[in-house]
Amino acid sequence: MNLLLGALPLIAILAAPLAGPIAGRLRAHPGWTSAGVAAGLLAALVVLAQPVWSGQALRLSLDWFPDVGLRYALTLDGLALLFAGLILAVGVLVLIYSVAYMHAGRELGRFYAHMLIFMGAMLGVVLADDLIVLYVFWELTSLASFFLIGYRNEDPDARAGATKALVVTVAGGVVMLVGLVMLAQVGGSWQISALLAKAAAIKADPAYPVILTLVLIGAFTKSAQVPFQFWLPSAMVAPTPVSTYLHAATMVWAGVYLLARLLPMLGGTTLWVAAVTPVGLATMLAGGAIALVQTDLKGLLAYSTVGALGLATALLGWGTPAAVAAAMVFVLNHAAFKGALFLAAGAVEHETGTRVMDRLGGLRRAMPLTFGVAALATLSMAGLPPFGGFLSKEAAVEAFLHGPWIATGAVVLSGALSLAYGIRYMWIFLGSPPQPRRAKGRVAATAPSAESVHEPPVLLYVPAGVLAVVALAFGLAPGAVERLAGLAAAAITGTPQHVELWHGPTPIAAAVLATAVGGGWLIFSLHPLADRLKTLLGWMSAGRLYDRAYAASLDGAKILTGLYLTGRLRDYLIYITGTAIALVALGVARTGFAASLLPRGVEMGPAVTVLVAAAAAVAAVRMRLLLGAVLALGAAGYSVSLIYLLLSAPDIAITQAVIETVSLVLFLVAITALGKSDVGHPPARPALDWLAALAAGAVSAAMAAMVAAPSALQRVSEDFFAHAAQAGGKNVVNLIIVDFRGWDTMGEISVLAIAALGIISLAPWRRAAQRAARPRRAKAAEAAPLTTLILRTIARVVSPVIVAYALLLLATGHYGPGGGFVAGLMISAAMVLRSQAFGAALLSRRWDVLMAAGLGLAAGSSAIPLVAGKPLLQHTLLEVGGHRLPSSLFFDLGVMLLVTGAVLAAVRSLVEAAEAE
Amino acid sequence: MAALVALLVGVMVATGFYLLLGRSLLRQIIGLSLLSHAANIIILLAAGLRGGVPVIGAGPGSMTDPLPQALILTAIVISFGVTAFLLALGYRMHLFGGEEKGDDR
Amino acid sequence: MTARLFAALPVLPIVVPLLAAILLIVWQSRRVQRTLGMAGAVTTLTAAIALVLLSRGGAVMPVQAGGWAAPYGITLVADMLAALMVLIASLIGLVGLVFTIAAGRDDRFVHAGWQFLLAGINWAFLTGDLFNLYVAYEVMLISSYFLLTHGTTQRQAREAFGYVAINLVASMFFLFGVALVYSATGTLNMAHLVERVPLAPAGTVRAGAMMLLVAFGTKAAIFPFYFWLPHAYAIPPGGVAAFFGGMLTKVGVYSLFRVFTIVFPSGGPDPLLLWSASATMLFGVLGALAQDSIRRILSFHIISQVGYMIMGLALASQIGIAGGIFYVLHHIVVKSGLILVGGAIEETQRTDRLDRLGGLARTNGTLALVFVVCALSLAGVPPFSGFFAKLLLIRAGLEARQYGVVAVSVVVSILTLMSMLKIYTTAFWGPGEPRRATVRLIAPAAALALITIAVGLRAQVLYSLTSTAAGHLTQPARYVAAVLRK
Repeated sequence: MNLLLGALPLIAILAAPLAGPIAGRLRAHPGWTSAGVAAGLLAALVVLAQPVWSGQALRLSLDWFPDVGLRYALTLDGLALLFAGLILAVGVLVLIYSVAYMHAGRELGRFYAHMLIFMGAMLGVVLADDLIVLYVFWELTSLASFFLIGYRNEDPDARAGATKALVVTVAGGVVMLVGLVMLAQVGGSWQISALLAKAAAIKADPAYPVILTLVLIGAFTKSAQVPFQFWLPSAMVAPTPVSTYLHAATMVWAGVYLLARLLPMLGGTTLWVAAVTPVGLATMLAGGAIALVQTDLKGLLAYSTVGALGLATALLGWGTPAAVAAAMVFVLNHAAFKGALFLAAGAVEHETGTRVMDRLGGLRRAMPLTFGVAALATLSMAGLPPFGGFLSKEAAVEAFLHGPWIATGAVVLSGALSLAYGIRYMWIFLGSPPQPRRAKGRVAATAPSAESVHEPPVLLYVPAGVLAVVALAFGLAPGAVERLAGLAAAAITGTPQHVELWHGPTPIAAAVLATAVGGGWLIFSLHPLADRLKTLLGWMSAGRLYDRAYAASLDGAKILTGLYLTGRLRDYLIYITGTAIALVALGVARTGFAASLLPRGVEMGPAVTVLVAAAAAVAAVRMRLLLGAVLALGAAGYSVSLIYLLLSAPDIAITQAVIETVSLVLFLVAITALGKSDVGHPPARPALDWLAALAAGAVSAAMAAMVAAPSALQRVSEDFFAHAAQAGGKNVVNLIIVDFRGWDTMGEISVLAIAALGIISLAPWRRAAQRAARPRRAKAAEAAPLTTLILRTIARVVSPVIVAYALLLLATGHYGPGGGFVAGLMISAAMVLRSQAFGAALLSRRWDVLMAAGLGLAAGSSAIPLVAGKPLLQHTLLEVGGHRLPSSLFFDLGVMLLVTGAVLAAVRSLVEAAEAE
Repeated sequence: MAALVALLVGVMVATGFYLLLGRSLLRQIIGLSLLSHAANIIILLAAGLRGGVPVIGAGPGSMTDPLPQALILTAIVISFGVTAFLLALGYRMHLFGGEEKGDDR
Repeated sequence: MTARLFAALPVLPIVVPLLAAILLIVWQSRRVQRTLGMAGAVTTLTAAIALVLLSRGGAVMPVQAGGWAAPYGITLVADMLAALMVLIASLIGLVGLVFTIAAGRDDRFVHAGWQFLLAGINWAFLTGDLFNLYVAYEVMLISSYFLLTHGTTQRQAREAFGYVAINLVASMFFLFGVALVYSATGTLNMAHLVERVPLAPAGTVRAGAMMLLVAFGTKAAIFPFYFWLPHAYAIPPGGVAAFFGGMLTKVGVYSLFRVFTIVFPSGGPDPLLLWSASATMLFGVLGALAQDSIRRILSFHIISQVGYMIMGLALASQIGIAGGIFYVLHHIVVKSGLILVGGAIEETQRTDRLDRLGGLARTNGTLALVFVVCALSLAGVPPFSGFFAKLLLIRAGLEARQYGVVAVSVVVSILTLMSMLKIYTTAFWGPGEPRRATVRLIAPAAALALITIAVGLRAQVLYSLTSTAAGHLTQPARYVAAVLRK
């Protein structure tokens, strides 16, 4: 039983995508399948409601997000029953109506899917017992509303209206979410039923005002209270079924529902009354007044709804049992008469093609049934007996009777206003048909002629008729209303409620009636003055504020972004480095500075080399010729290499020297294309460049000093010396590279491989045929035969020596400076020499195989131990042909092959690219 | 000695950075190379500047910390790879040359 | 045999793509390349799933490379955080590759580069050594340079140059940081650092921490280091962009999470990171509002959303960090999905500029639905994963009494929604009857959309995993013990 409760919202949502396809199968309008779903749910609700009628509540609570404490918890009590019944009953009627209203189109399935999703979500809102479940369904209704408003999205007004509605309601929703989270933290639970027990503690908590404000913002945005009401009229661009269902009967009332639901735990305080009631009253009057001056049928009804929402809000703000009951009665009545009025307006628009009231008139003759329906509903809206609307207005006045007179007066005034705009609404039926206007000889096509308009299809006025009859029934036989409202009020206030609406003719009732009728007629007659009122009221709207804020945020974003995101690398580097300098400086200033700054033990050799390196670096900056700068860089590099040598790092020295050479070659290749274009007076540099560079240098020097300071903690590298024998070598650096930290080297050679791939992809090799076609190579081989002969001799002699030495370095890497990388570079050098001499296609073998082999060998050395159950990259001593070889040799060999392949491949690419220029 | 080397780091960072802030792409690459030299040297400083070549049995006295040396070797090779790639990129894409082109995007 | 497989498991996500890449360097046939590429991605994903399953309950699996005990050798560590990151990387690697193949933009170089990139990313997640992290970063970075510049125009190469330059500077900061940390503590092993940092000279450690913050922060694109991102991410085609946009910044975020909790603990909400998070969120979304093309808008949102992740880190509480990790995983899925949608649009419409698009929902219903799901999830609208990610962070923020950053996060999520609506109402609504995108182009994004829906329905599943992961960061004793074999 309870599971059915839990399924109610979900069934509609899950059925949503099916409504269209199933209808297609049955060759029926998808409105029928949707109405069927709604009817089924209504039946289920009736079944579930049995215990609720006798005052009990139905509950369901399932695990959902236990770590946070969220549960899929639903409750069906009087309040939920009232709203759920409303949602489903009105839903059935609106969906039936929509069968005639919505013309077939390929988007229709999607329309009904959204309607069903909305219905399910709305049900979820009123049934939810967990704050987050409520919030999820709350936002889902906003989402569905967005798609429904934007149904005819070719229309820019539809797009704008949908966007505005969504942004305002979601913005309010997110703010509310923070309030709900705070509420849960203060109350210790996410479930509303558990929070009710903590109501006193919640209201006494210092966070209560904040929680209240945040939650109210959510409720007020959803229910279009002042100053958030501006999204509702823009939403009227939606098709009439949407306007009726969402924006008159259900979605906008979610805020009112929330106020009712949270009243027990947040309400009853001075703050609540002071915050909610005035907003409600202001909205009530503003809505009524603006409705009066509308020219659009749906606009009138929209603002009228705003006013109604205001009344209900004010009543819930007041919070007495009588006020709460009056609010519930009003919700029911309003749904009946406003729903009918919206549907009738839609029918009129369907037949006449316009919603502008000035262009309509005398429709009572053309569509008498619709006229009848609209009349009944209007009488109820105006608060005239014997309709339900009269009883609910009277209940509202009575609820405020013992409160401030201004509130009572405002309610009476709003009654007068609703009579006035009710008459305005009915004037399209009552008045005389408008004259077709002629403008400069053109016949105005806007005013429909009397002959072409007739009664709308049955399905368009019957659902409205049902609602209108219900509105009448609520007045004549209010028993059901009294009972339902009583249950709802009991659920809110916690005490059983007995609601009795018709006390017989009382002086108060008579006085109210008379004032309303009299005032209404007065206002209606004065309505031409109202245009000035309209301008005045336009000021009250936050709508323009929203529009300006929206535009301003977009423009502001553009300006701000343009300011700092200049697109220049230099600027970005200064931001980054400036921040880095600041972070280090501030951080160290706080924690202290440990460094050895005293120049102790300066040795001549290294000192001179250091100075040379520094000078070279400065020269690289000062050189105007690019070639000079490159050579200065080279000088710096070689000096640094020398420094390494002098500071007991021979391996690095060799590697650095070789790499510096290769780099120089690459730089020179890059420069050759430039010719003389780089000589010239360099433009003046802004002072910030100097400052930033010097600051960076200073901080770096300071950090270097900190690095040089000895620390008391023992280095892990101490252990390497102890394990060197186990690793089978004496050159500890090489051992680290190949064994202890071989995994670093694996990455290093991968980087090389990818770099080579990158270079090759940028400078793809020519195919052999193209190469053969080039005359240049042939010429080079013939020119200067003597030079070629010398070159070839040198190559023949020297290159094998280089290769042999390279292999030696590879083999003895473990014992002295050397290793795979240097070996690879040397072999590459030898190959380049040969290719220059012999002109043979450098690496006619496939470079990719060589690189892959190298990388594969290294990777294999890493991975194969895994297969043998050993850790990654663990080296062992292997027996190969009677000799004992460390497997790290294979790793190093892999490095060598990779380096050779990569360097040669890259060189070939660049050389060929250079030749092509 | 350490102070001198620290100053060298500072000089290389300053010059490298200054070049990097300029407009000529090739000079920016030169600047990047200077910066990586600086980074390598600062790692070496972590070894302290004492001790001899870290080859067992190479000589008397204690050996210097070999770990920073291995780190530097890796860093040098990696920087080299990236620099070569950058040069190739600039060269092939005709990005070099012409101060007037600058590096405005 | 199985025991060996399990012991080797933490290494597979690196080694498998590496081996695939090696083979891809050699093979010429397009079909073999595609098979190899897909096989590499799928195998890696399988290994990653196994890793996550094994890490439940807080298990930590170290692998000592070379067989040398920590802290002397290099340790690779698979704890829940690393496993989750590897899983998501492998997933996006697979999905993005499928898209790239579907769009026909693959060749030998792209396949090899793709596998190298995946290997590098997983490497960064799995390594437990600070310098090895630098090496992993370099493998990842050079693969990204490669994929970025492959097949581009001259103008794009110029943008790429800036990206490379900034990353090189960040790498220099990284090395400076390594030097400072090693000099102060004498070790590079992360678990060992947990023990040693409190004993080391505070000034040097602090300077090293700041250098690492800048290095990781540049990669993660937090304020004020993120400027390179919008320019760089506008260059590559959809599949590559999805891989980049989803994963590259998250490696930086991961490094921040790993290092600035266990190695440099803050002992409470960190004001520096809170400010950075707020600024990142705000400037990112404002940048997005200023853009007019889908790719650029999404690039700025990457920045903005990283701000949320840093917010979780900055709160430094168990629920804050768990929420932050949840956010990371959710965002990767959604952002890659959105970029793939943009990619599909670009492939079929030849443009992604909003002023040239319209009416896409009319002819591309599924694509529109995928976009809506991912966009709403990004903006934190329920019932998708993004909502729960935001909820977790709001909850953590309120509990830590950091009301400022919570307020910023709320404002930014509203602005994010506005930005997504701008794309939707301009490109998907409105007049027009554009071409249809093929199923193969939509399917990868759709798969990701399904994931965000599934996570939204039952967020508990993912949250318990991220909670376990956060546990290792806030209480590193188990991690340290497992690595150092105490």
